[in-house]
Amino acid sequence: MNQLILNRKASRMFLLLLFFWASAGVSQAQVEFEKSLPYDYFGSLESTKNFLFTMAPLKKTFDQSELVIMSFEGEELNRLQFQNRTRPTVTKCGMMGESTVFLMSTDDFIVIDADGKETSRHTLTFEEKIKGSKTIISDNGITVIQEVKIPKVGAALRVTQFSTTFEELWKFEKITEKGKYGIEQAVVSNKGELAVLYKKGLNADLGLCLLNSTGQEKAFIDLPKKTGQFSSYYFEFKQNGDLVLVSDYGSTSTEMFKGIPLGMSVITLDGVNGAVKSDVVVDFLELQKKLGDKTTDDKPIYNQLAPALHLVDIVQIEGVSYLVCESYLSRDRKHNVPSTTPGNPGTDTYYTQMELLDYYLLNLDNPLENQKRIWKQPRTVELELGSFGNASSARTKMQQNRLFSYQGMYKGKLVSRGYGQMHNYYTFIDLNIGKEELNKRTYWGTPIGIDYNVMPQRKSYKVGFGSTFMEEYFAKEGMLAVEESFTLYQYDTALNSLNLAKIKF
Amino acid sequence: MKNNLLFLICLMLAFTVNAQKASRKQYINPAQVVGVYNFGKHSAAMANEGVRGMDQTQLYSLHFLSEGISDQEIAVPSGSSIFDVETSATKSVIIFNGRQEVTLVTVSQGKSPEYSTIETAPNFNYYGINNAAMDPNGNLVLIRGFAENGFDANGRSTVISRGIEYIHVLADGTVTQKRLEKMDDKKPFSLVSIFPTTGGMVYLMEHNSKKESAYELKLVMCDLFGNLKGEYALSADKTFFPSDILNDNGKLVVAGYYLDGTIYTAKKTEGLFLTILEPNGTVKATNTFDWSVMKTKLKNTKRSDYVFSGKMNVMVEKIAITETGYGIICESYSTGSGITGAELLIGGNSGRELVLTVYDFVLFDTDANGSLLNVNILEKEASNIEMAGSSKNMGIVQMASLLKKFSVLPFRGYENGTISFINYKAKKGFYSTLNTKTGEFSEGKSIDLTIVKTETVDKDAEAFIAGSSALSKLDRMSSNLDKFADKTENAMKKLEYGIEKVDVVFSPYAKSNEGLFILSDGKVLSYKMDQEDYSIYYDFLN
Repeated sequence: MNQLILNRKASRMFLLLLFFWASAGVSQAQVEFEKSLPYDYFGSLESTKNFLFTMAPLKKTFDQSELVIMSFEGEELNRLQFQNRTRPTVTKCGMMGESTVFLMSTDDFIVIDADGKETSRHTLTFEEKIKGSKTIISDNGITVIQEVKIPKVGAALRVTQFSTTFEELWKFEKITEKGKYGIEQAVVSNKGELAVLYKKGLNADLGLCLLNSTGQEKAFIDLPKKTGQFSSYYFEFKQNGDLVLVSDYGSTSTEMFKGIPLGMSVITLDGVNGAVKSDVVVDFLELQKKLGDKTTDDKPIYNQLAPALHLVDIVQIEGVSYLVCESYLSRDRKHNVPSTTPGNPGTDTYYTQMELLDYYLLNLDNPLENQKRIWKQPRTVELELGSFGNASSARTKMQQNRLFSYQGMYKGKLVSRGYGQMHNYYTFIDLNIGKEELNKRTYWGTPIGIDYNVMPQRKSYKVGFGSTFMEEYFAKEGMLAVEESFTLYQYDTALNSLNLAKIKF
Repeated sequence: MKNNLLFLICLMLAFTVNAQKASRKQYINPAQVVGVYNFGKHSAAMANEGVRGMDQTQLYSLHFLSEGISDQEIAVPSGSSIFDVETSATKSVIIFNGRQEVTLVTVSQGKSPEYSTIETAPNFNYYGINNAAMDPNGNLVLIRGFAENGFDANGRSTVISRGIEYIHVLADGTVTQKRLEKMDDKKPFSLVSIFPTTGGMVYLMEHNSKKESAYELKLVMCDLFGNLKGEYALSADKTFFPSDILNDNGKLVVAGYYLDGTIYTAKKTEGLFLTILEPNGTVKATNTFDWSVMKTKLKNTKRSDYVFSGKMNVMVEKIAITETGYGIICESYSTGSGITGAELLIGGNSGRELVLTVYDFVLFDTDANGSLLNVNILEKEASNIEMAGSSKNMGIVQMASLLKKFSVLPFRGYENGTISFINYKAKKGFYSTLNTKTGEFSEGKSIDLTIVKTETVDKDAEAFIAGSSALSKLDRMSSNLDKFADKTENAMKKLEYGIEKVDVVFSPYAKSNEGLFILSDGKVLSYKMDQEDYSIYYDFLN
């Protein structure tokens, strides 16, 4: 009997092996997806340094969501379900030491350890009327920055620091009788120091609040900048304790060019007193004159409107900090969706096209000197944002969906994503060569669309069926970068499965 | 266990079937592909990747139709477009015509492409390459027009001479010769064909004046470095039309058909010829075999009356060295409007098409001096080739040159007494062989590739349909409609062939979505581009 069972087992193993061998022989893809996970509705796929996770509506429910935590290889570690009057979503996710903290739309904080197990759950409640709020999850705990309206007193900027066990450590409050504190940016350093950039009142003046790790005020000053022509999107502590603030500067016509900026402002602020240490505007037309495409008689091709820069990362190369930027142009595309009713003219839909061009490396300490351009194949990402869509909103959505070409650095090379031969590809760009090499691409996934005659090649992201706006996480394929590792993913809408491949270099 | 064994056998059988299916080269957008070319041991698709404004270059990527060979990047001056790829067993060169320069790109597997530029002298107008050939050793000749600028007697700027420029590039990339052949205004000659031989290039030149009904044809011989060695006149009281030249240890063996008089006076072809020349043009032997002589060598008089009627054109496909002397392999064909009886009845055919009907292979053996020994006709199925584009308006010599250059006729090769060719049967081609000694015919693989596609099924949709009887009925109806549509399409194709009788349409220089190459190792590769799944399918036919 035992012999018979063994024989059966052996023959099954043999057949299984044969099947895998056959499957391997048939496929010719450049990247093999190693794992295929059932995933009924695509919600989102994100990563922390410990694991991957998906957050999606739960099948056959209207008020429940499911958070699935898995290893980078796609092995399931945990599965958590949430229920609320409105379907719960993940608002924020961050690392707190070795734990991952999820801030849910229900205001619950879920703490997950490195193995994916839930260790605690907390809720923070605030009594005053909150006009604006930002929550920072860091190794120091939870920092909640709020603009609070205090009846008969005025508006207050309030910062509450919670420990890693969610106990209140300190509170800072600054009240103004007039105006308000519109929170623009907030960042916490490794040492627990806090910097808050806020908009004062209605006059668009900017102010800066610096607190030390115990909540003591270091500086509460005005900044010589105004919002409007100045739109900040990156605020971070430098290694030396100073702060770097990167903003769009100026704006083109929203009608013609979808409001792309005219320059990039790079401001360095003193981490102790908030004083401006350097204030540089990288003028995009000037940049094109220096490094851009030229005609045969050496004149810049872009002489009226230049591609704008979007900061994607700050990296250290041979001891020097560089701003890694990706240049882009933006325009509108009107598309008529024919009506199924005869005689009806159909519906116009509007796409915001983002043509992603080259990379630029700018020295963080001196962005106007030794600028370097790195050519890559242009590609277009178009989003159905409606007639009011613009480059700014498109960039925010692209950043969230990892749709910029830059994916990170690996061994001194720039990991870049692109569209070629109507497919996604990734490649490594040697900074010394200064351009993408076409023969070093690795293609992956299914075709990006059907517009095979359009150059640069483009992928369209549309509003979902029955919806009037784009979902938060609409890109169902992409790259996840975790430290020095990359995972490719693609959602299969026919099989309702999530395909994963860990890239091996 | 028995079941498992059965499963195993089924799996093995499935694999045997799989082995006959075409290979797939994925991640290629056929809309970007400017052409698929023969690169010696491999073939590759070249895709346009647009302009790199940073250094004003036009980018292309090469995708080899072979597993394990990496893609290559080609970067040439902006505005450059591919003219052609010339290849030999040892070397492959892509020729690009740019706005102001010609760029040659040498492609080798496993090595980065090597670039060289052919400049134009300051006092010359720039012209792109319009003809090129590579000999078996990898030496290349590039042909283009030239116009030299200067000043007239009044000091005004003008073109002082024009003609043809021959640029000889050795296999190592050295440009050895830039020969300028000025045009004779009274009797201009144009280049019709280049015959690359192991001893150098031989050029077929034509002077054709319709106005004066004057016609002359000559051969111009050059050495390996492109130096002129001699000329040989092919027209006097007879006109000889060579379609193949062999360099046999320094002797040039020239074969083709001939007319009495010129194209303006002759009413039919007279027969075949074989001439042996020294490289300087001195005649060693000349032989003509008129159709009546050819017929006497054959027993099958019915077939020979048909083939050797004088109304038939004969293309010398290959001159081979045999034990007794030379073996000449020819293919017979006729030209017509292509209007079939059915089309005449239905109407609608303008009659401006040109259709070649290709008939039998004709083989004749000669001794070392070119005297006729044997003639043999190898019958095969007739096939019809429609000449599209500019090819239908060409003169007889130009067309013959084109037919040879693009391997339009079914002949594909001759090795060890066996002819390989494409046997067409109602639009379907088969890579077949014919033994010239035994007459044994072997029909090989179809050149139409067997493409098998995998389809992903939407599980939810399938389940939804299965759960609904109305949807299931609709699904079955849709499936039946699809089957009906397939049957109708097949019937229409058959009907179309029944009316037009065209097996293949040839359009020179047009991008083709399918084709066939004979690689340097003798392997025959057939390919087909598929826009729908962004792939090129390919298979080896031998």
